Amino acid sequence: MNYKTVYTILNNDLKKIENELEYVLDAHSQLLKESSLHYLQAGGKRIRPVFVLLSAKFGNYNFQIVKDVAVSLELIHMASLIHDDVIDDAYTRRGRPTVKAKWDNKISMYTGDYILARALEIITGLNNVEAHKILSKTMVELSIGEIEQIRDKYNFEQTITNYFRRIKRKTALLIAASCQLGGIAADVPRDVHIKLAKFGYYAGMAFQITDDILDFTSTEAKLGKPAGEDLLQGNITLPVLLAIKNPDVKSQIEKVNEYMDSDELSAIIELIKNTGAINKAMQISNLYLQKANQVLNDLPPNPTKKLLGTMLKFIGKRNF
Amino acid sequence: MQFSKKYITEMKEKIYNKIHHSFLSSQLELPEIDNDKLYLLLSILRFQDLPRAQFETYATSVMFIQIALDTHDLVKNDDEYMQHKKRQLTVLAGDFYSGLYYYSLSHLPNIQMIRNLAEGIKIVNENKIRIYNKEVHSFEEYMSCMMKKETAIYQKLARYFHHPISELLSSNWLHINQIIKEKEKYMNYIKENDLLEYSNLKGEKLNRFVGKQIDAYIDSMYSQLIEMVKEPSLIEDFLELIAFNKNNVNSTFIS
Repeated sequence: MNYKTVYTILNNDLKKIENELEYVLDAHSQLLKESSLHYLQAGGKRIRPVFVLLSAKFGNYNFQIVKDVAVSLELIHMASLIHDDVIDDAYTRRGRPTVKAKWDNKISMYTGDYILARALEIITGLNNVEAHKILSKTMVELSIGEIEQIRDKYNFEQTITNYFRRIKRKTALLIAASCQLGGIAADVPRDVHIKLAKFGYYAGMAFQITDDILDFTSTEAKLGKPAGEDLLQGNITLPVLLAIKNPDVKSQIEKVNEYMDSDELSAIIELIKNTGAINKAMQISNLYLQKANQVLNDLPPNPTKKLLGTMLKFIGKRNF
Repeated sequence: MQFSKKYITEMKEKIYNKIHHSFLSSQLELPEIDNDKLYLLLSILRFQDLPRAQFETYATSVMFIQIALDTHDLVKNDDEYMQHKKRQLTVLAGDFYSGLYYYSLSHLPNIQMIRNLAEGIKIVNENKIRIYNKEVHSFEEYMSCMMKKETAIYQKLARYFHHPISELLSSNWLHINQIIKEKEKYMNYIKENDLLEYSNLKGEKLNRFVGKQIDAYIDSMYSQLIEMVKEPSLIEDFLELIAFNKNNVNSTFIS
């Protein structure tokens, strides 16, 4: 089974979620409607809704309730992408102009805030205090993760622990929340939704490490943004931290700055690849996937376990 | 006055303590807190006779939203106006403050209040875009959008408590004060977008004309406020604040 099968199995519900996303972003202002729907129409993996749906299958799967959770989490993710593109000064995402490129920073700010408000309006349909405590903490942590990413830019002295803490906040916690809230929405027992959160956390860590590897190994056509962009922006990711253990390589990498031309950057990317750092980073990603698999084994017997396992394989092997 | 200056200052300090993040504080200026909005907010909550802890959580949560929205308003389109790093952190600071509102209300817990305020945030941003994108075509439409943009959060809070006087203060009183304090901004927008169809007027004549229209609008909002509050003594301090703000606006305004 590959990940496409999972999407096929969930196809009906994912389609309804897609329609709902479009419906809830139907703003009065034509421009706001267009800017809100801009990333939605660009597609995407919808990883968070997929995890919500799969996790909910461990309990009383009521699509009307689960749908709201899935829609909200995707909206939160979408709002953060719109704001991220202002932060990163990004002009393309998924091969299309960003909201900031098509309109401007102001429209991006208002659109992101609008989408976030819609997400909170919808998620409050879930009358479960614990779910809101989890999600709100996740959102605060997500911002702190991003703030600390700016603080640590071009800081080649930062530790790997620092990196792990940052990616936990900026990516893993939202995926963990997707799994846990999916479970809560389906009234699974507490020990089960805690396990689902752990599963999501490990999967999310692996997902982000893979993302960081792809910045070095993939192409602009596949990424929808230039390769090496993270490094150019000063985001010190796992492959870089592993590569700079070699002092000679470190002295070269430390030359990176946002004005560096593409030839120089390409040479440094090659240098990083030649250290074996990419393979080591993959091994670490695999360790997280193994941990996720262990948690999966601990979950109660359910046919959905196989689908979650397939999603883990997809995270490990994805090249886009 | 219902609240002393000392109390207002203490509340501001509490809010600043709760939004403190060492790196943000080292890079960005402290966000401003609008005195009128804080005063109104505290008054709405005072009307409810809430336990102290709840009172403070509601007050700080609503202010987190206001600060988040105001912070995002500072993000400019061009780095000439804002250093790149400062812009990045301004975006994130706004997101952080907005997360804090959700966090504090979910721990209170009050899910319905989270929803009401989220509806308010939605309305604020819808109207910000309409104004920014010049999707308003008349004086009335512009004033209505500005009112929603400035007051939706407080109206939603007042609506939650089912308190008509608070609702009226949140709409009319807050709107009147915002216009008084930012009259120049209102005048410029109305003139630039020809919202009063005054193509034959120019210079001072045009300023006087637009100023008079705005004053007439303020008067009508004020009359409505007085008319609808059966006992004006209940809002005496609010009426005093309008007079205070009127006396303190830039004297170059034409009215």
